Amino acid sequence: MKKQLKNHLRIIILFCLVLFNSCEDSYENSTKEVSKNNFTVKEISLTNLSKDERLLKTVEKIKPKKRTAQSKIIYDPLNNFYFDDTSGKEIITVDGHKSYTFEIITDDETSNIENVLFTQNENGEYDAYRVKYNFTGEDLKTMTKDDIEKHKANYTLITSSKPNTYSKTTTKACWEVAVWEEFSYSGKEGNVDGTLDVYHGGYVAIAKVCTSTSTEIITNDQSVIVNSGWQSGDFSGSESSILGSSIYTTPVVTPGTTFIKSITPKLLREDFFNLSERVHELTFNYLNNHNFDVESQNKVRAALVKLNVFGLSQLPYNIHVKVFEYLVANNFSSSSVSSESQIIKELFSAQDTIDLEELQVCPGSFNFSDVGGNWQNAGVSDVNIQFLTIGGVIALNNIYFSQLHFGLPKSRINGDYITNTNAKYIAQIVMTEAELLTNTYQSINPKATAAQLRTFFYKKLEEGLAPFGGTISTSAPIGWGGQLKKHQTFILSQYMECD
Amino acid sequence: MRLIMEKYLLNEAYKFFPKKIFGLDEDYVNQIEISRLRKCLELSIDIEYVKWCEILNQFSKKKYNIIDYTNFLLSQPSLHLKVVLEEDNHFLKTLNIYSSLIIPYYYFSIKISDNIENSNRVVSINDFKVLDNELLELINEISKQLNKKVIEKKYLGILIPNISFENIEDGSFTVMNAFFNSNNNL
Repeated sequence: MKKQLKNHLRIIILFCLVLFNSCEDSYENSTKEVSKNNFTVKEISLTNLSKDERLLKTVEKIKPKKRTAQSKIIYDPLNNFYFDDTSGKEIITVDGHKSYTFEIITDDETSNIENVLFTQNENGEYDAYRVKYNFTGEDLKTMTKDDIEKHKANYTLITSSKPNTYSKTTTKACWEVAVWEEFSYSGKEGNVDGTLDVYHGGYVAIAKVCTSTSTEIITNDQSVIVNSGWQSGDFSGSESSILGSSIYTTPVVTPGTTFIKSITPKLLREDFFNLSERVHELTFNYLNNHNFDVESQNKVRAALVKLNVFGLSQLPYNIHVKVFEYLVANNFSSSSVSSESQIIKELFSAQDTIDLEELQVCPGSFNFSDVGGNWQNAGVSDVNIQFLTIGGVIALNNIYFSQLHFGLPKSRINGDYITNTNAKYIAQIVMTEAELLTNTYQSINPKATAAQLRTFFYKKLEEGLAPFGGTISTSAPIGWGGQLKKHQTFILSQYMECD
Repeated sequence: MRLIMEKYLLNEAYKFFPKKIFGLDEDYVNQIEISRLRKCLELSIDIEYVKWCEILNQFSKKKYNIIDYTNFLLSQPSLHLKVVLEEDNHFLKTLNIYSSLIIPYYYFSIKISDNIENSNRVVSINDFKVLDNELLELINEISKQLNKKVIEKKYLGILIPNISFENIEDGSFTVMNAFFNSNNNL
């Protein structure tokens, strides 16, 4: 059964789990946790922190939003970054205050390190910051302590833990790095001579509140000036943790995100995100198996360009998977990528093996055309969906609409632009989801009448289109000159072929 | 005065929306009232939409981001625009102006949209005090060019009995749905 639309979104989960494992292999004998001065540093994945509800509450506020029924990842322009939540660093001070740092991928062309930081405040809740450095991952590899001490970090408050609040102007939040401290991992099993091998771990930035700091927090339309951080206090550069005055973070870079940043142009990178999670898993497993070496990265990048991913990401989930399974099996060789006939053959063979869980409404059912200044509409005729109930009696219930009209804006108030083509795939996803949800509803309520199913289905279409600013209607918009496209009748217990 | 206005609104609604038929019934769109509604909207759009676009064009050159959200559907028998007032990582505050194509009235609301939870919340309706001079000028221009008056907030929630429309059941259909907008997400 298709996955329902989810409220939280993970990016590159599986490649990072694989990566996390490979890190464990590399540090097989390390503690992975180091205590130095007054804090510990540990590698962490958000999946391991599912019990920390306060942390998850803040995380949910900023993670990109939705995964569609086809597991396509939608870029969230308001957040302006993708969030890699699986290869992070946890820092815990002796006072028990925690912070978590993960790498983010932005739409900017910069290769400087950018992280998201979740840090506990005085109430034990978490505030989230975007932390920008003025050096790259490559720079970091060769930096000494003297080098890094010359660098600062930029902290931008993303969200406070207060409910129903958001930061009106992030520029007023002010933290500055007061000291960098080096940490290292030491081997569990020592050397013959009793010494321990020490591996360079990295650097922790300890930031303190600037002398005049305030953040304007908006609560229910009333502006209130509050401190976004802890209470200010004296800070001693030689001490690592003083309650109420510090933020601890460490620059986090993962090879996977470095690879993603290397995908150019930007449009191609965005389109890569639009491929399904399974494709990401296949791709990053392949890269990880080759230790992210230059050759494997080049091969994958070349494949993405040559496949004309703009088109591929528009196609259904199962087709992505077939194509990338083939490419992985053939080591992303240039011949496999170039072999268009082979790819097309895979595309067609993918369709032959559609199973029930991959049922789709045909995208050809929707032909969007413009209405007025900023609207587009697709009219679908003869929508006839039948549900087969098998129990004591075999009964056929059906939903029928002579016409359904899917409407979407072209330019959205948030800056997005929906082309006629993208609108087609939005409508396809929404309608598929509505049909499958209605199927589930009917399974749970076998006595539901046709009218009830009809109402339920219509409501699910409304709900599905709402996040895109869209509408559903039983009649055409005034002045719409488009053509109705016929929707195929199908029974959900049998698979469907698209024309 | 209120009774007169209520009677007027109910009468207008019954001209354009059929009574006692379920909004999603297959025969609904074939009712004579719906044909009348379509004709009325076609005529109004012909006259008003060009002026609407001119006003939007004129004001889009100023400081606010204005987008036309008119969708020409029976479920939104009005001209609709959005103006971005404030935006943040998670929230979007907009001014929404609805100018009815059926009755000579308009109204406006301030909404906050939560982009994480995908929800909308109406903060105020017809509150002129929160508008700056430029937005007041926009509303005045709409009022003048399209010959509309602001409808008092108290009338928007009046229920219109015996009418269902699309997914809105009998007993839930209001003046706002009939003459301005049936979709709370827009």
